[in-house]
Amino acid sequence: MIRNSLAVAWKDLLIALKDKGALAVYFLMPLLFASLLGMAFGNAGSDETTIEIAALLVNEDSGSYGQMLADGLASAEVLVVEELSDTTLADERVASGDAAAALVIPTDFSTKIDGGEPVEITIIKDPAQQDAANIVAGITNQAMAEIGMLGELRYGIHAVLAQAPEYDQAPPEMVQAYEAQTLGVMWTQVQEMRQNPVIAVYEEAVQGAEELQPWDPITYYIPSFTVAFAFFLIGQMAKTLLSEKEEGTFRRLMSSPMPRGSIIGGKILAYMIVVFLQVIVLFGAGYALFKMPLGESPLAFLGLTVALALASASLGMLLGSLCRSSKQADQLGMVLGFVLLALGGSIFPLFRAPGFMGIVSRLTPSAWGIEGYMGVVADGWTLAETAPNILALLGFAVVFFGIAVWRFRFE
Amino acid sequence: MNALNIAVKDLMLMLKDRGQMLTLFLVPIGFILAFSAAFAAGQQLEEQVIVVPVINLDAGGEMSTLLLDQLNDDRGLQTEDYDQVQAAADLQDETIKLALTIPAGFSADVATGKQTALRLAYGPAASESEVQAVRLVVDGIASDLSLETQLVGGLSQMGAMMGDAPAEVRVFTAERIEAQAGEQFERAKTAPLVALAAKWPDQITQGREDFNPSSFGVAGFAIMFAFLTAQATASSIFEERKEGTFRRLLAAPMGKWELLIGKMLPNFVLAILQMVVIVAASMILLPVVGQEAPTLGNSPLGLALVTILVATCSTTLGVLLGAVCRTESQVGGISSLFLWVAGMVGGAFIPAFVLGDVLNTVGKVVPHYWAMQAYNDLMLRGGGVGDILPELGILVGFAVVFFAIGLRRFRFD
Repeated sequence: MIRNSLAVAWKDLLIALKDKGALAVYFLMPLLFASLLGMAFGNAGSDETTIEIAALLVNEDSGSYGQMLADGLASAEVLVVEELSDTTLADERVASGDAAAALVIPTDFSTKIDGGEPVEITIIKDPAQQDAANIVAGITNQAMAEIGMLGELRYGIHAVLAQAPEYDQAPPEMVQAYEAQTLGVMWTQVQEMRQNPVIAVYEEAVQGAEELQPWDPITYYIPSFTVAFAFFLIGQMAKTLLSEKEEGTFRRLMSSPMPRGSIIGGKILAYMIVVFLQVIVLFGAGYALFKMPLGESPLAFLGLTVALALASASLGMLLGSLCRSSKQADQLGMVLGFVLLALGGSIFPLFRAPGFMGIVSRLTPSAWGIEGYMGVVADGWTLAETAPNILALLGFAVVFFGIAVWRFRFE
Repeated sequence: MNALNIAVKDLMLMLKDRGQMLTLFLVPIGFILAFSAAFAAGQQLEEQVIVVPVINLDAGGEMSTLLLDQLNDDRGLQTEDYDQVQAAADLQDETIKLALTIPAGFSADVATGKQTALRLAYGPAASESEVQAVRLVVDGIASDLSLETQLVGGLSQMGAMMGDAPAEVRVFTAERIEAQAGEQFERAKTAPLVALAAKWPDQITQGREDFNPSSFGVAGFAIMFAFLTAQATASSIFEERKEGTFRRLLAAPMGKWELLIGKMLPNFVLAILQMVVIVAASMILLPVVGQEAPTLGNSPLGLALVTILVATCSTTLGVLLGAVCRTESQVGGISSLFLWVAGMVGGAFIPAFVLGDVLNTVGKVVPHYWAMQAYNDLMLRGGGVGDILPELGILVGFAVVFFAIGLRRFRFD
């Protein structure tokens, strides 16, 4: 029986892999999606970015604070700042999408700060580039914090000085010089205070906890898309099963002295091998191209992959036994594949969400697979920790296979 | 007309194929729903309040009370009093994930300017993102508190420095400084000296108060899926060629032109229907999952024109693919791959600035990019037909090029 199953498996494997379109879909596409999304969202978190956002600046202020802000913005690597002199023009350019946002510094900016009066800077955002515009706002807020601090300090000094009895009679240059000198001393003190704050904050790992690593999106996207595309195989599997029936080759196989079990078993084995290949290719690429960690427990990894392969192959069987034509199987397979991709949490880890969505997500085998791989790869899960996920996937496989066997018609 | 007859035949064949209909309409809607639900869930996760166990060894101290008040003040954290020994045990057995320790003598040290430290301990169950989120808040509050006290201390030092100066110049007295600093800090809490006010471009809002653009890109998905029907067109052409029915149709008294147009019409109709259904469904379903419905902008004519052109581009692309592909796998998997890549690079579901310069330039080569620009101008910027003329022209250009190449390379057998 085993030899027969292997022969059937080999046949099915060859058929599955010779189809270049299939190779493109099952191996290249997940790699592509995972890479693109991993790079896109990986970039957003790291210090060295290649993101560049166009922003406009209209500085109507002639004082030093406006210039400080302009300098602060110019020094932000993420921004490409262009200075304009006309607010209406800036408004138009943002409206047409030329820039993600425009900042307008009003004429009385420095004067008001000197007088200790609250003042506002306006940011004009492009509704079609809201994500980028919000990044500009964030950077501006940071630059403004410095100015706010300095402004408060200067004002404070000025206000206290103004309470001196001789203040009105003192010559303005002397007052200014005095204020500047005081400010100089204080500013140095402030910088020092910043470096050595009275209250320091330390984080430390308790005994047994590991050093926290920043989350690398690749450790999510590679597993999530591998699992998603492992389940896209079900359409292919069901389709070939049904087209064999339609073309009559199935009947011929049945009439041969091969046990029925081998025919089905062989097909299942073939598709399990394809899933294994997917895992090897995709995780291998993740390791080679993105230095994705592979975790610390090869056993857990292997167990998870076997369970995933079984779940996928048995779902394919189920689809093959329920559908009535190869075309129906192909389409339903695709729909199911998409549903599992979305609900299982390949684009966003829905299984971590609270409430209804989280529960629904956990009803899919994909969610368990993705969570398992993430645990092994990113959190160093052991076989014991991965066991619930492996068992869940095996459970799904048993149920799918049970229904498939019950409903399968051999003619 | 013969073309119409062929079109009707194909349309009926398609409509009878329930699986196809399911795929064409339900998959994109399902995708958008799942995507936006994920979006919403993501926002929910970010807004979840993190409970922070606090070991306060400085109970009753002025500074520690102030610290705790600020931690609980609407920053996404909620503190919970914990005993030191209990905390250590609970961290180990993963009942709690992290714990903040306020050392004994905290308030006294801060008041005199003596260096002190808050300790944030995390256990095996902690996640990097949670620890960082708490750290960020604690850092912010700690540095503000530090600065306040250090500033007053600094000003007082100034006063002490001038202690030898004659009385008239001795302005920086302790009372004056504290009064001034106090007044400013109070004011700063409600009205910071420098603030940022956001607005949309006047040119778009035109003075309207209720302009509220959605941030979720339904248009991108609609374009993505409309172009995927090109693959369905290509498949059906491929099937007909394989089964030899093209040759039979050619034997009939009708021109090749008519045959092709007849083939294209149903797919054109379906692509338009698909886009309309996707947008309509989003308007109803997105609010259900807590997202804003897409805004349609001010120009129905503009929307209609772009939609028609996207459908035309998609159909002609289908003809091109049907003409160029020689094997089933090319027309199936490889075309799919190509269309998904085109969609991604064209900015259909990843914002342009994230893609970076190189991908952005490459993106201009695919029709998706121009369709996105046109839809954004109409739906998010409230533009009219006049604003999207260049994009419309380019889409027409794409359609013409696709059709020309497709026609040239088309083999009916």
